[in-house]
This record gives sequence, C-alpha cells and structure tokens, in this order.
Amino acid sequence: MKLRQKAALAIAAISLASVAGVGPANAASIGGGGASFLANMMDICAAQYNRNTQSNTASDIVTYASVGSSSGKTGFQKGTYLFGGSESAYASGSAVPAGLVYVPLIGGAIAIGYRLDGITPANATVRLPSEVVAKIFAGQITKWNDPAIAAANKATIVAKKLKTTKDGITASVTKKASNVEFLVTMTPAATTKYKNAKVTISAAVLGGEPVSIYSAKSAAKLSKTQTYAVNTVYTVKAGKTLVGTLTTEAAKDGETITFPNTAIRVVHRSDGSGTTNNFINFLNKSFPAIWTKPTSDTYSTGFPTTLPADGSFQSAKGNEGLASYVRDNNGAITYAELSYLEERGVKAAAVSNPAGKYVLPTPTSSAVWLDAAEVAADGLVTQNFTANAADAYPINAVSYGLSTTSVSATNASVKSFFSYFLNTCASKNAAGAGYTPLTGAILAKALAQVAKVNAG
Amino acid sequence: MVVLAAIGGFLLYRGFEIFKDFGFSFITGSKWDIGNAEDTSTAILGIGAMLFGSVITAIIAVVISVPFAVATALLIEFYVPKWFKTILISVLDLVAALPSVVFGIWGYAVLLPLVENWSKTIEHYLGWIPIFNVPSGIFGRSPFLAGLLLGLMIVPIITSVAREVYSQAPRDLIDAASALGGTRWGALRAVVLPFGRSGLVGGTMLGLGRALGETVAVYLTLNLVFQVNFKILASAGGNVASLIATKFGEATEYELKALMAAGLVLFLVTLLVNFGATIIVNKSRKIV
Amino acid sequence: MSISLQGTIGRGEFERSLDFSVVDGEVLAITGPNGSGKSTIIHTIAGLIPLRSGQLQSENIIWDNPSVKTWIAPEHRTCAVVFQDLRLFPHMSVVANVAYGLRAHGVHKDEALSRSSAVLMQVGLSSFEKRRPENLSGGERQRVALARALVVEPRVLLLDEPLSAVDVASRAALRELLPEILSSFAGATILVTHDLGDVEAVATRSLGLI
Repeated sequence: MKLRQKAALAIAAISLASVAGVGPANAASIGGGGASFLANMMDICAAQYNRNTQSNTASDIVTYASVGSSSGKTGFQKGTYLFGGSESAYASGSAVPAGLVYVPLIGGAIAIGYRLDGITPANATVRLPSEVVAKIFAGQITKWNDPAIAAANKATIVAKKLKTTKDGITASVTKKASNVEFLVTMTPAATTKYKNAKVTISAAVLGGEPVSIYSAKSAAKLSKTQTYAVNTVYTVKAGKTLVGTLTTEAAKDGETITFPNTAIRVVHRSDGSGTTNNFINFLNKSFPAIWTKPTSDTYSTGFPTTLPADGSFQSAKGNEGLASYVRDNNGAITYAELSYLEERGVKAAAVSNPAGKYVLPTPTSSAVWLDAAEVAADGLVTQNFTANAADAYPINAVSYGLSTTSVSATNASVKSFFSYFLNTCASKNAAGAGYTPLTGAILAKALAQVAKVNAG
Repeated sequence: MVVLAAIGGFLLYRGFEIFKDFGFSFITGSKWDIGNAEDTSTAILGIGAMLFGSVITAIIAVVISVPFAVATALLIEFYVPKWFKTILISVLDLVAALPSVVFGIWGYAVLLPLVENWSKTIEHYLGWIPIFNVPSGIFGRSPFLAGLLLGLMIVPIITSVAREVYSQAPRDLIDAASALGGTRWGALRAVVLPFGRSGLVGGTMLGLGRALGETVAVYLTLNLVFQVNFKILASAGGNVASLIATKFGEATEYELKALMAAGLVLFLVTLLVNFGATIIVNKSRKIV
Repeated sequence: MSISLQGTIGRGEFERSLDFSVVDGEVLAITGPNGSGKSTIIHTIAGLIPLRSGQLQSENIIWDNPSVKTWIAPEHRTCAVVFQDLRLFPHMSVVANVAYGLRAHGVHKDEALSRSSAVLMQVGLSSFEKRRPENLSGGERQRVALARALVVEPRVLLLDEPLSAVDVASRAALRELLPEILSSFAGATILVTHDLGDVEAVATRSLGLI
C-alpha cells in the first residue's frame, strides 16, 4: 500500500514536472477528500493555493474529492486521501490514524432549503420554528399546510395609532411628506411627577431591534422630526413608564403565507455525513423528546423511529445531491450548507433561534451563533444550543481538516495548505461563497492545531 | 469456472463472520445499522429489503423488456427491409454498449418526470390494487422507474439472443404455415415463437442476471430506503448492488465484511438464475 | 377450369416453360426425374416461389403475373399443399396441426377442432389426435399432412411426392386410401411424383416432364 502510494506520487510528480516544465522536483499532488459540506470552499481555496507561488512554495497541486465525511474519515485512515475533511469526529471505537489532528477550517450554516410551488405570495420566505423543523425531519409533520407551519407564517398587524395618553402625558405622531413629527405634551401634574425623568422615543421596524431616535429631559412640550420609515413602530417612554406605542399606518410584520396541500418530501443524505451529524445533533440537543437517539453520520441511525418507505423520505448523495433534489422536486425540504442552496437558487427558510426570533441563514447570522461555541483542546468545537443572541442562526457546523502529527513531505504540504486556508483564503472568500470564516477563540485554536501538523 | 470459484471463495472468506453472527436474518432482515463501532454486537445488518428490491426491479425489467425485445427481434428478422435491418442492429448494439451511468443519468433527467406522470395515471386507475397504491402521493424515484430503466437496458441483450434463435427458425415451416393460409404474423406465431421459446428464456435469464447486478443506473434512479417496499410506484427501494456501492467507501471493517457477505448473496442469486436458465432451456429443448 | 399455368417457372439457375390447366374433379399427375422441376411447380402455385414470366390463374383470379405486377400472397390462395417433407409443426399435437389452417382462416376454435377430428377420422387417425408428430410412423405423418391440407377445403390440392417418405408397407395402404379421398374431393388436384405406380393408382391424367 505504502509503496504503491509512493510510486503513484512519484509518477504524478514526474508527469507534472514534465507537463508544466516548471516547479521544483518535490512538487506533489496532494489529494484530499471527505465532507461535501466544505467542498465548495475547498475548491476555491485549493484553486487559489495551487496558483499562489508565494504560499505554495513546493508548487503542490491540492485536490479535494467531495465524498462525504464518513468516506473522508475512512479514506484518510486507510491512506486513500492524504488529508481528510469532516464535520464530525471519528466515532469512538473506530480505527483512527495515529497522531490525528483536527483542524477547524471553516464554519457554515446548515440551511433548511425547500421548494414549494403554489404558495401565496409566490416569492415569500417560509418561516419555520425550530421545533417544526424537528418534527418535519422526524416525519411528524407531513404536509406543507400543517397548522403548525401556517401559524408560524401569519403576519403580525399593529394597528394605526397616532395618539396615546398615559398618566397625564400625551404623545402624538403626524406624517408630513417624507417625515414624521412627534409631539409630547404633559399636564402640570405630570411635569412635576416626571421632573427628573427623560422622555425617550425609539423606533423599531417590525421584526427588528428598536433604535433610540430621541432622548430629552422632560418638559411640558417636546417635539421631534424624524425621517419616515415604513412598517415602523415607535415606543414613547417617560422614565420607566411606557406612555404607549405609535404607528403612522397599520404596520405589518412578515407576510401571511397560504400553503398548498402538498406532501413534504424530506431529503436526507444517503452517504455518511458530517452535515447530517451536526444537524441531528442540533435536533437531539434542542428537542430530545422528538429526536431521542444520539447523533450519527447516518440519517437512518439517528432517526428516532424507522424511516418510512412510502417515498416521503428521499435520500441523495452529498450536499450537492440534496440541493439538486430540492431544486427539482416540489414539496421537498432538506438541510445543506448555504452555498449549495445559493448555487442552485434554492430558497432557505428562516428558522427560529432560542431567542425566539426567525433568522435567515447568512455568514453573519451563522458567525453570531458560532461566537458562543467552545473549542476543546483537541480542536473539536462544541456548539451552545441555548445561545440566545437574537440574530444568531441556530443550525451550523464547523468543518475540520484531518491530518496527523507525523513528519512527512506530504504533511508539510498539508500544513502549508491548511495555514493558507485559515489565514488567507477563508477570511477573503468565505462570506461571499456562503461560508462562515472562523474568528476569535476558534480561529486561535485552529491555528494552534495547524502547528501540530507535521510537528512530530 | 476457476475464477468463479475464486470470487465465491473470497467473498465467503471475507463475509463468513457476518453469516456466523447473523445467520439467516442477514438475508431476511431489512435494517442496516452498524451501531456502535466499538462493539460489533450492537450492529444489526440485514439485506432483506435490498434483496427484495433487486428481485422486484429485475422482475419489472423483464416484464417490460421481453415483449419489447420479441417485437423488435421479429421486426428485424421478418418485416423490415435489409438496409433498415442493418441500421436497427447497429442501433441496438450501440444501446447495449452504452455505459449504465449514461442510462442512469438519462433515466434521472428524462424518464423520471415522464414516469412520475405515468405513475400518477396508473395509481389513479389501478390504485385499488395494493402494489399500485401510493398513499403518500410521492412517486418519483420508484422501483417502477428503476425497473423500467433496467428493462430498457436489457432489451438489446434479449433482442440479440431472440434474433439469433428466430433467424434459425425453419423457413420450410414458415412457408408451410403460409401455404395453409396463415398470415405473416400467424405464421410467425405458429412457428417462430414456439421455436424460439427456449432461446428466449435463455436470453431473458441473461437479461435478468444483468438487471439483478446493475448498480449505477439503480443508484441514480431509486430512493434508497432500508425497508421492503412492494408498492412499486412509491418512491422507495434499493438493490443489493447499489447498497454495496453506497456503503463501500465509508464502511468500517465490520461493515465491509457485511458488504462482502451481501456480495456473496448477490453472486449466489445470479448463479442460481443462470443455473435455472440452463435447466429451463434444456427442458424446453426436449419439448420441441 | 380451376387452375391454369402458362409461363416460365424457375428457381436459381433452373428454369422451365410450362402450359397446363386442371379442372375440378381432375387429378393431374406430373412426373419426371429428379431436377426436372416438379417441386418448383408446386411451390410456384402455392406462392412460395414467384413466377418468372407468364400467368398463373385460378378461376378468373390471377394469382401471379409478373408482367402486370399481380401477385397474391400464399395465405390468400385457395390452395393447400402436402409437402414432400411434410413440414408438420413439431411443437403441436396432431389435431392442432390439422386445425392450424382453419384457425388461420379465422374459424372458431371449437369448430376448427371438431372439423379437424372429422378429417382425421377420414384418414384413419382418429385415435392419434393428442400425439405429437415425432411419435408417429412415416405413414401416419403422411396422413396428418394430407388431413391438414384437406381440412381447409381448398379449390386446388397440391401433393408433392405424397408417397415418397413412406415405408413399403404403409405405401400400399396409402395407395388405397388416396384415390378414395381424392374421389370425394371436389376441387382440382395436382400430384407430383417420380413413381409411375402412384400415377396409375390415383391420376386421371398425367404430364411428363423430361
């Protein structure tokens, strides 16, 4: 095995040198493989690295095969791949390469992609409470017009209110051209009572965070002019007393979506997958009553019961396969790294986080969630499933590069590539490609892990 | 024969532990769960559903392809002019030489939407028959689609065998039949079809063997689910060969042994089919 | 006149001009050595070999005339053939062999079977219905072939060496049976043979080919 590999490498090196006519004699083909979750990012970084003569001093050719985390782990352990990619650790008891090093490389949102024809309004983005996600993927919700889904997709209407009075304080709002004008008046009694308090006005576009737009010492008469913004609710306070909320016209939060009576097709991975592992881990940790089994790379193993054989559950290979299936089939829903949905124009649902807010998967909202994660001494990241930042997207994964501490020309090349990936490539390209670059403690730990590669 | 024995021996050697651990339930069980990697006794491995899937898709394939192949063979041998015959034969050879992955992709991209619509129609009119009933309303990647695709794949094999035996049908008897008032078709039915029956059975068995072992085309057009699904229009199924292809890359040591065992079962079934074919062919030869 | 042929028949290199006609109730024996074209005449009339030139006609219907591009397919000619090599269907029982022609003409199965049985009785094979041709003697097979031709009630009966494939003992029996059957046959019969004994036994007229 070893000998054959060396021979193959030598042949690859010779052919490269002879074809390219350049490059040092030690140039090698570094073939890695594993998780499809990070394959899009790998493709970008490997291509850039292969061209980059400054970082890639050995003129290596790095390639990556998107075969799934399980195949990546097995393949790396058996020596089929010179480095691996996976979002899940080796299962306890399975054969592990000697001196294994997990290097966190990149984060990403596991987006809930769906295709649903015939909803009104047609381009609406579906909102799914995370519990509904858990039930859909467990086969407990099987129709798109299920009441639980419909309930989460009703617009909240705040009625028009131009004037409010409390405790002798009257606040009113008037819309004038492209501005709104506020007027706050106080009775003499109120003026006395709130003498040392501040009158504040904050504005909140529905569904968003309130922003303070006015703060002043209380007086018998106060006024403020502000640029008009649609769907905005203004909150007036005097000290800690809530005077009331004002809106210039009926404000609407979200859209009411009418769902067709379409059967849900859950699309899951046919191959062993770190994406699956992270997704089921989220479901198991967040809703242990529904997802009763510990997570697994294999969907059917982590699935709480037996997968139904009536076609309501569909399997496909790789993040690519999942996203393509959803693109092609009405009623389908899946879990896949954001970039795969974006590539294919598949819509992602907004999912509720522990803070109760619906958040779309984006590199930013994913980064907020991963900020709360912890990284262990061995480089493995543990997510905080109760993190309650309001703008965090709750379903995410971190991809690890797999290498070993043993010293070899190959590992030197892998180390160089991983450093380039973390230091140069990810920060520049990840967000644009739909990935979440690592920052802070995780990045620091990741760099420390890279240092262990090829270090003996 | 030596090669055959060597393959069988290798598979038996690698898969023996699995047969020892699971016995007959490896063939009848339909759960595939490697359990805890540390402790192989937690694994539950059974290829029942996949074996069933292999058989049902192969049967569908044969049911669809035999009439097709017979019609094509008769057409080529007895109806079309010579220049067209040459074209038809080379087209068939071309189809036979197509890699199955091309078939699979074509099946996924072109046949799938068509079959989905046909399935809906069939379910609408024949849904009261249990095997055509699809309560979930999800058709798509069904055993019917995979079987249909396999059927198209094995048409050339069966056709070429049928053509060969039909071409050897005695012209004298065909003449005799028409001299007695039999039409062209009547003469073919009275003479050629019975004469070629044994050869056709042989060709069909050959096709069946290929359909049983086909991997890529089934992998691309069937939704892999580890449960026995006899509702052929519903989108769930699998076969042994595609199971092996799916799991091979990521398999643990123990799972690998199970895949070898599954390979052995497939090997034996295929062998049995060929053996059966020989017996049937010999038997039907005696009748004629 | 029931059947007439004026023209050239041929197969491969062989070619021969002929001019004859046969009327209903007549038995024309055509004799000649091997290679004189006896079987070719039968095949040409049956429509298995096209006429080279001239005309083949039955009643007022032209069966074959290359100059006016008229050709009637074998199955539409009102004739029936007993081939020299019999050509029984090996996979069918005796009665199914006989019934084949009737079934091909669209006769209902039950009727075809009962009519076949009747004809089989006429040729003395009533207890052989369920057997297969391979289990019959040469003489018995010859009778099946005869029955198979007669049952469709053809206007023209074509017999190609009907007694050649038979052992001596059976031949005597057939020579008695054949005239009996042909005398009750209403149409025209053409008998091809190289055995002058046959001619004597059954023919009303003979034509010698040299």
